[in-house]
Amino acid sequence: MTLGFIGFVAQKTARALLTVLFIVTLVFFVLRLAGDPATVLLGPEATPDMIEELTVRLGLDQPLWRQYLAYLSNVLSGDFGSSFLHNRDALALVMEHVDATLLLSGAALAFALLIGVPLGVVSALHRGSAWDRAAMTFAVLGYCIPNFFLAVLLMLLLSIHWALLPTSGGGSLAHLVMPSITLGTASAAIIARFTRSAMLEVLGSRYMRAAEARDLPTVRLMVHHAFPNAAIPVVTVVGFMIGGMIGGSIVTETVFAWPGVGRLFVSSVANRDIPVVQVIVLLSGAAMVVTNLVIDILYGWLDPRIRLRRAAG
Amino acid sequence: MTQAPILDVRDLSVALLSSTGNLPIVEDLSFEIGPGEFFALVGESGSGKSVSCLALMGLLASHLQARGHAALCGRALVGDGADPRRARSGAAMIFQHATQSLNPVRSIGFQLMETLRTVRREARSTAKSSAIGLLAEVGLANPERLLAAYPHQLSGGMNQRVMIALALAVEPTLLIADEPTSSLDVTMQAQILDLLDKLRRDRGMAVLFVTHDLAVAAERADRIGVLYAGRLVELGDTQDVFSKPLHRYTAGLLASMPRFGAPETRLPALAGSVPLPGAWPSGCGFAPRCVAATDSCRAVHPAFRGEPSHRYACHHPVRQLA
Repeated sequence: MTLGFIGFVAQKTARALLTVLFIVTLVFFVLRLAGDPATVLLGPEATPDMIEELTVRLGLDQPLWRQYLAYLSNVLSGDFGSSFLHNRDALALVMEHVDATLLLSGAALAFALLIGVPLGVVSALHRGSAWDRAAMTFAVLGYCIPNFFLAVLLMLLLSIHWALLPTSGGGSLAHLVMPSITLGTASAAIIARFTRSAMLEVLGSRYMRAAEARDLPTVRLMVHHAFPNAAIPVVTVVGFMIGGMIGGSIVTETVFAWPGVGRLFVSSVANRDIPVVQVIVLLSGAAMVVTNLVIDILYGWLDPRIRLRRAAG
Repeated sequence: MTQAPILDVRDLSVALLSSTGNLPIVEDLSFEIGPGEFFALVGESGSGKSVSCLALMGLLASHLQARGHAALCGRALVGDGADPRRARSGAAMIFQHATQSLNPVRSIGFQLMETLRTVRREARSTAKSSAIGLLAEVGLANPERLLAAYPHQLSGGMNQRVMIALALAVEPTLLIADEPTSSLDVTMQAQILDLLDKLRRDRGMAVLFVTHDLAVAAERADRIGVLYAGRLVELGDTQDVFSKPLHRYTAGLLASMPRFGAPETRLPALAGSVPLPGAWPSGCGFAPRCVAATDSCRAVHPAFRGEPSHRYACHHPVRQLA
C-alpha cells in the first residue's frame, strides 16, 4: 500500500513537471508577440541604430526557436536572465518580493479558513436558523464586494476614522491586517458556502445515521465521521483559491502599497521587462501546480477510495 | 410469547410536520416483542415500516415527530420520560443499504474498534481482538486482514455482515433489521437470514425484522405484524396468520403469492394501490380496495380485536376466530 502511494505521488509529480514546461513555453511565445522591448525601453526619442544595437545586445535578433532553446537551457541551469530595466538578475529581483506576497497570501488563507470553516459548520448544524441565515448573508456579501472597494472601506474605517492601523506599506503585523482581510474575505465566503453544503450532505448520509444509532458521542460523530468526509470538497476549492490568491493579490498589493510580487509584476509588464515577467509567471504557475499536487496527494490521504484505486491501477 | 416483553410499543404514531398541518404516517401502532423473539413487520413500501423503526431508535429526521409510548426493557424510547440515547443502548439497527451505512473514509477496523471503545469502554488492545472475534462471529473470513479494509472494497453482503458485527458490538437485546436483505441476491439473502437466526439463538437477542417479503417472514418469524397504510391490520403467531388470515388485506397478499407445485394459473392480484399518507380514507384504510367493504368500513376505523395470539382490525374478517 505504501509502495502504491509512492507510485501515486510520483505519477502526480511527473504530470506537474510537464505542466510547468507547458507554462514556460506558453509564456515565452506570448511575451515575444506582445511588442518589441527595445523600442519601449529606449523611449520615443531612440534612433533606429540605438534600437538595433539594444536588440542585438538583448539577443532579440536571433530566430525565435533559437531564443527559446537558449532560454530553456538557461532556465534548466538556473539562469533566468537579467532584468532589462534594472540590469540585474531577474530571479533575485523577484525573490526579494516573494516573501511579502507569500506572507500576505498565507495570512489571507488563514483568515479565510478561520472564518469560513466554522461559519459553514455552524450553518449546517443549525440549518434554517437565524445563525444560518446570518452566515449565508455574510457569505453572499463577502463574495460580491469587490476587493478594491473593501480595501478602501477598511482604510476609511480602521485607519482614518478609528486610526487603529497604518493605511499602507509593509514591515509590521499591523500592516498585514487589512491586506489579508481584503484578500481573504471572498475566499472565506466561498469556503463557508462549500463547508455548509458539504456538511449538510454528510449529515444526511446513511452512514451518519447508522453511526448515530450506535450511540457514538456527538463530538466523535463530528470529528471522526462528518469532518473527514466533508473536507474533501472543501479541500478542492481551497486548492483553487491558493493559486488565485497569488494572482489576485496584484490588486490588493497595489492598493495597500504592499511590497510584494504583484506590484513588481505590474511595473514589469508596463516596461516590457520580459525576463522579470517570465520569472513571475513561471513562479505563480509553479505555485499553482505545486498546490494542485499537494491537493491531489491530500485527496489520496483523505479518501481511501482514491488512494486505493490509484494503488491498484 | 409467554415471557414479559422486552419491547413494548403502545399507540406509536409518527407525523410529518408541515406548515399546513401534520400529516400522519404511522397511526396507533401497538405490539410487543419477547426476549429472543423473531418478529417480522410486513408491509408494502410506504406503509410506514422503516419510519416506525427509526422512531423507536430516536433517529427520526427533524420534520418527523413520534407520539405514543415505546419502551425497551422498561426504559422509555418514545413518550413520557423518554431518553432515547439511554434507552436505545440496548438496541442496534441494521439497514437496507449496508455499504452506504458504513463511513467510506474509515476502515472496517476503525469503525468496529471505535464502537467497542466508546460504547463498551474497551481498551485499545482488547478492542482489536474483540473486533476480530465479532468479524469471525458474523462469518467473515480473514478477520484480521479485514480490519484494514474499507467498505468500498467489500461486497454488499460482506458489508451487511460488517454492519451486523457493528450492531453486535453494542451487545443489543434487540436488533432492528430494516430490510437488511432487500438489496442482496437470493443466496446472500438466505446466508444473512441464517446468520441472524444463529445470532438470535446464540445470544438470546430479539429481532425486529422489517420486510416486504412475505416468504421470508413466513419462513423465519415467530410472530408477524402486517402494516397497511400506517396501521397494523393483523398481528399474531406466524403460523396462525399464514394459515388462517383474518384481515382481507393479509388474505389477499397470501393469495397473490406463487405456490410451488400449484397449477400454473394467473395469480390473483389486489386491485388498486396503497393510498399515500394524506390521502387515507376516514374509515378502514383498506376499504377502497376491499371486496367486502360496507358503509361502516368507510365510516369507522375498525378496532383491534381477537385473542392475544392473533389479533386483527377488520369489521368483516375472512373467518371467525374459533
